[in-house]
Amino acid sequence: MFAGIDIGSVTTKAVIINQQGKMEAYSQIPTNSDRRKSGEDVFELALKKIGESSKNVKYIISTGYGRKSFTSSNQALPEIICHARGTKSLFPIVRTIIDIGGQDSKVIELDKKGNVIKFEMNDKCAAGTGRFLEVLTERILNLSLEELGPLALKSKNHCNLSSICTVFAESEIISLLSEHRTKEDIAYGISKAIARRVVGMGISGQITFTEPIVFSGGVARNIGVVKALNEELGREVLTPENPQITAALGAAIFAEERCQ
Amino acid sequence: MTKNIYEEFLRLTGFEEDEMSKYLPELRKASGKLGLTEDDIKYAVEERLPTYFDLELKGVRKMLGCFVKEVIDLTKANEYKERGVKIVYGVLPANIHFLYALKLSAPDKVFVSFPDIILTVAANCFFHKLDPFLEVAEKSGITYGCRHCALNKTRYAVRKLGIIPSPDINWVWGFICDEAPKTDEFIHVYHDPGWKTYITRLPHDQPLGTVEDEVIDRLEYLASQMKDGFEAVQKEVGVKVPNENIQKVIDLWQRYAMKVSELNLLMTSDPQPLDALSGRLAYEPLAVPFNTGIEGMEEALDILIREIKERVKNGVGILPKGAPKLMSSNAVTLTVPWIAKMFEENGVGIPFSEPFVLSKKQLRPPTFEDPFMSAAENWLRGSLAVNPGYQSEIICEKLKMYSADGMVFGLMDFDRWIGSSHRLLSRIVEEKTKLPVFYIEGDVWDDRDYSKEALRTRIESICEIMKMRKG
Repeated sequence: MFAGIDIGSVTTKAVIINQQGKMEAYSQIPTNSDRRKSGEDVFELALKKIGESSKNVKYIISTGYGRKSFTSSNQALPEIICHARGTKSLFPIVRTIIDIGGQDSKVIELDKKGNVIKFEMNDKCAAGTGRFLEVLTERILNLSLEELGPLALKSKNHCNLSSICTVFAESEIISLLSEHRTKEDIAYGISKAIARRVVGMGISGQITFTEPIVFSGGVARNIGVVKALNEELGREVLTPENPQITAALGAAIFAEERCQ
Repeated sequence: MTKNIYEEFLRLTGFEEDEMSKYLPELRKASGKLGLTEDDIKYAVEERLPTYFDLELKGVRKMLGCFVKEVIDLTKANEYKERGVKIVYGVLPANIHFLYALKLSAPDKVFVSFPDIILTVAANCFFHKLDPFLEVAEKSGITYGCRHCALNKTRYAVRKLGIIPSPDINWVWGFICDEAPKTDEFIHVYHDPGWKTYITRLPHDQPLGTVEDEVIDRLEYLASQMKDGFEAVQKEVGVKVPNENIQKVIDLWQRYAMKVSELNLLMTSDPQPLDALSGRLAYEPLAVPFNTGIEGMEEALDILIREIKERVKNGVGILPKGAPKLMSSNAVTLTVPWIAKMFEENGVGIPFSEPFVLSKKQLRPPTFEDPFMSAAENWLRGSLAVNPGYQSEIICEKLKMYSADGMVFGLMDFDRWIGSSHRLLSRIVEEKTKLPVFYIEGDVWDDRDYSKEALRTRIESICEIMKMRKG
């Protein structure tokens, strides 16, 4: 067996695959301040699900923000490469990946063979990431993240958030609420702000958004953001069944390849 | 212990035993003026320099030593001024031929320097201690987050702190950076009414793709601007420079540039024989005037070339054979050395710095006898201040000349012009060459906002992409 561990800023994921490259188990936990321990815990959890021991895992690759801190891995690889590999295994002809995680967002362009040829990431700011959604949703709208997507789809006249700064958007939403704008319209306004930010970032990095476009990362579970991305791009994005584990899956596939 | 660490620093940076008695007290004095403690010197000796430079090589140690001598000399500029020496500053990326010619014509009467770049490199490259200067500037006028680069902030801060004297004239070229003259206004208004500036400008009005060094009107215009500026400087310091001294300097610069090109060619060897940062030291006198002279650097470069030839002969390299090699616009920077190092640690060489890799045209003798026309031609043959169409042609030629596997632009996001033109260039160069071309957002002088961890994923991803492409 082979394992991929993705230690992100918000969640840590593990994927275990067998000799044939088939996924045996995956697990996900919140990342704590000790990133190495988060990696160990999530790995143990995945092993536990299939009643296996780490002794039977031949090669481990860690990825994500905390990849260097996971000392049990055989190798650490950047998540850009792992996202691409994992997504390609699920969508073999993918040409563009939009990944929105907890604290960063990325747009990745692949050639016809599935090799990464270009990528763009957010820089110093968390706007347009999962953290942006989390702050605005839970703190200001008193909604859970799960509620936000379905609510956004009910919007009839969405708000335009002029700011892409998480902090300033917060005050803007407070103003919108005082103007009695509906939570539905605000929810979709937030989704649109994220979509605009991520697509704009990709365009500035000269990403061509060639189809098929796959949307991964935890935020891909939000159907409001999916709809906003479709509108912003004028084409449909595809989402994996478990969009948050593509990097861990890619790392596991690399583990199998590099072990050989 | 106190004595030893300073001595150790000098030995590590190529000083000979017979130089110790002169330079040891001078180093202590200079360190005091720059706010460097014994712990800072210890950090440079034990960590910073061994991490980022190939100190096994005498040529590298000697080059570092030339830099140390230049920094020590700069900290004595106040004393020079008191003795009546005329102080002339310049700001990157000005043409340095004229300042060298001034020095050549009146070595004891004139002090020439680009103080901000010398001090920025010294503070960050050796000690990783530029922040105190930046904070001084940010607390007193040039606020944090504004678009002024660390060079401008450092110039502002070191004048405010009295580390450098007011110049008799500061010759600023607004060719690329129009923020530099604004910094001089800040200094003049806030801290030093005596801070005197002469500005030379070159409008960027050439159509995309124009081969600017072949447009006679443009050459004549630039030559006339250089002449006016240089006349103003000469008048201010009371020194008359004969044209033959300018020509002598151009010839000297050309000779040094040829040697740098030889080093660049050696860097194309497989395996790559020298790390990028150690090689980068050799570039400095091409862009920055050394008041202490270019001879020491040239001697060190000769030693380095001999040492590298030996490595090439013996197949010694710092990366595995076949490792991908990138050309970069600015990624190999002495002020934020971990950027280049991170590429090499991830198995990708970054040996060629585009602005310092000379094109075929730059290596040709000048077309004109008039030294100002010759200097203008030399300037427009380079890629720094020409339109992006011509610039991309020059870059594509260099990528081919040095067999680079790809190109990295960026790390100049503080600059409102270069920050955007690099994005445009990356697109044009990629389309023309079909090579992978990357853009990294960051800051080549100041790593407070773009830390090592913030850029790690980008750099490691680029390295993985390059390795996968090369198989």
